[in-house]
Amino acid sequence: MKINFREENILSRMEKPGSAHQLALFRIFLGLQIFYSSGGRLFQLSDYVAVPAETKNIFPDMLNQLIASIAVPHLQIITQVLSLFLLMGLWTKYILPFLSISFLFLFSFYYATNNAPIPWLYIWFPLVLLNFTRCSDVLSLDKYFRLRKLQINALSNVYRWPLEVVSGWFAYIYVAAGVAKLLPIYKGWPWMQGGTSQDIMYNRFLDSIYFYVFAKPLFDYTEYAWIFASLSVASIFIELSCILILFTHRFHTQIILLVLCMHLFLFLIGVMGFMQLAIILSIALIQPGFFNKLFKERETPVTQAV
Amino acid sequence: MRREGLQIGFSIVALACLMTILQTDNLFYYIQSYLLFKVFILISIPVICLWLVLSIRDYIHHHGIFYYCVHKFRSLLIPKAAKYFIVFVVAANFISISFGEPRYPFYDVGMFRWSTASQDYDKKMSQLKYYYWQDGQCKILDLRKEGSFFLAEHFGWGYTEEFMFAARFRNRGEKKNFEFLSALMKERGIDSLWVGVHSVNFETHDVTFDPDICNAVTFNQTANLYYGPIYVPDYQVKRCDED
Repeated sequence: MKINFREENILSRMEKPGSAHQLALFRIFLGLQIFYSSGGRLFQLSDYVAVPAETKNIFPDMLNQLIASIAVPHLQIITQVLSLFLLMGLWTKYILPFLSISFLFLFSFYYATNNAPIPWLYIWFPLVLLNFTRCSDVLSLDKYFRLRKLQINALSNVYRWPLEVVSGWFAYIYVAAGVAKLLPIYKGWPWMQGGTSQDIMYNRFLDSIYFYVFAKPLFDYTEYAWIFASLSVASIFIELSCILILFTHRFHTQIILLVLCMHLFLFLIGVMGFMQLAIILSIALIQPGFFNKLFKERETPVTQAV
Repeated sequence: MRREGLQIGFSIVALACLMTILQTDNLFYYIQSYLLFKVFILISIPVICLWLVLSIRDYIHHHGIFYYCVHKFRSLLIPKAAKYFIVFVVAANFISISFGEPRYPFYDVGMFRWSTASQDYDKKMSQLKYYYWQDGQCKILDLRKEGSFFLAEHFGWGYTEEFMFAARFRNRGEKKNFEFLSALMKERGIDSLWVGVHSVNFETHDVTFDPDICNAVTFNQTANLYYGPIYVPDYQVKRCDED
């Protein structure tokens, strides 16, 4: 298999035609996820318990205080309502800037009290990016009410570049996670010995889905250090292999499968579930041709706005 | 292509050295204390400088991977505002990764980055958990289970994994966390929550639960617990003292 990196790298892929349905589906799933994660009672718990997590953000103190005072329930409700508009694709162009701001503020409050990055880390950038895209040209109420004017353009990349940028975001998340485990250099080797994996599996066993389903440990977690070392090396391998996304599209399927397997394993051993977020971002890794066939989109031409 | 491959490889080495230096707290203490670290620094600095010089020279002469990326990105037919936004986020995240320090919304994705040394674990591992009595039976309130939509027994929509993780681990020592949970359970007809000891023996695979309230109080005070001690309600401590 000869790989032409010049033609297949992420920047070259951004110039190619894409699928309006793929981008619209990404918008819909993103809206669903924001609706789900912003509706959680976690915000009420955080507001009530109010344990500061000593995290830092880019906002000035005054703004942070304002966010803390309006996060529950105002920002929460605003984010939920706007995410429904995003999901339905109604007035998308107008609601997206407000949704981006409310989401960033609401999850700033979440991060300030919980020091856990899971939902916002995966979502915030793709959400802000949608502001610059034509994500509601199909599968939307905007289209139904003819709020968007369409024009045919066979070679347009309007539906492709946003998803390629999101696939770059996917690569960033996992590669950065791998790099964080290996750096500083003198810490990387001890990490690969598997102590962290063992610590998590051992201490979280009674709080893991694996225990709730199977009631017994898979093996003696106090022994077999080589298993934990293998798991650590495998996780770093999977995370760093995501860098291939930047160079070629040929390994996207394998990367999606490996990442989902890793998330499934983490979910079973008691680490919070990131799986649905990874799946949403994975939409960007699927080839547009798949969606063209699925929705019987014309191969060429692709719709584009005036 | 071979040249670009070498350039990428050299960049990885130089950046790993740079990030190691940036992420080392008490850098000068380590330089003075550890000979190996001093050697590392003495090698790293020329490597980083060489990488910078070669990268800048390549860019000025319009070849190399960095020039290709910048040139290609600038020529892309995408909205200008989007380009500025992408460059800003890439730069901010790169700084975050380099320093190994997040500043919301920019993040180094350092989840589980800490390194735990392998150790001799006890065959028996115990955790404190809330439980309640129902129809004469002792029932464990497994909070992490409640965060799963398909396994939850008490909670539903809105009680996400993040909520349960915060309630189970992060806030477990807080009285207010207990009050919040207790109020939710009262809404579901459970009057009192107690703390008991849930244990697993990894050798025999036996799992047991000890509802003895005094054992739990003692265990909470003496054991080295994952995420620290749990909040034990006053009525449990009081009853234990009376007993």
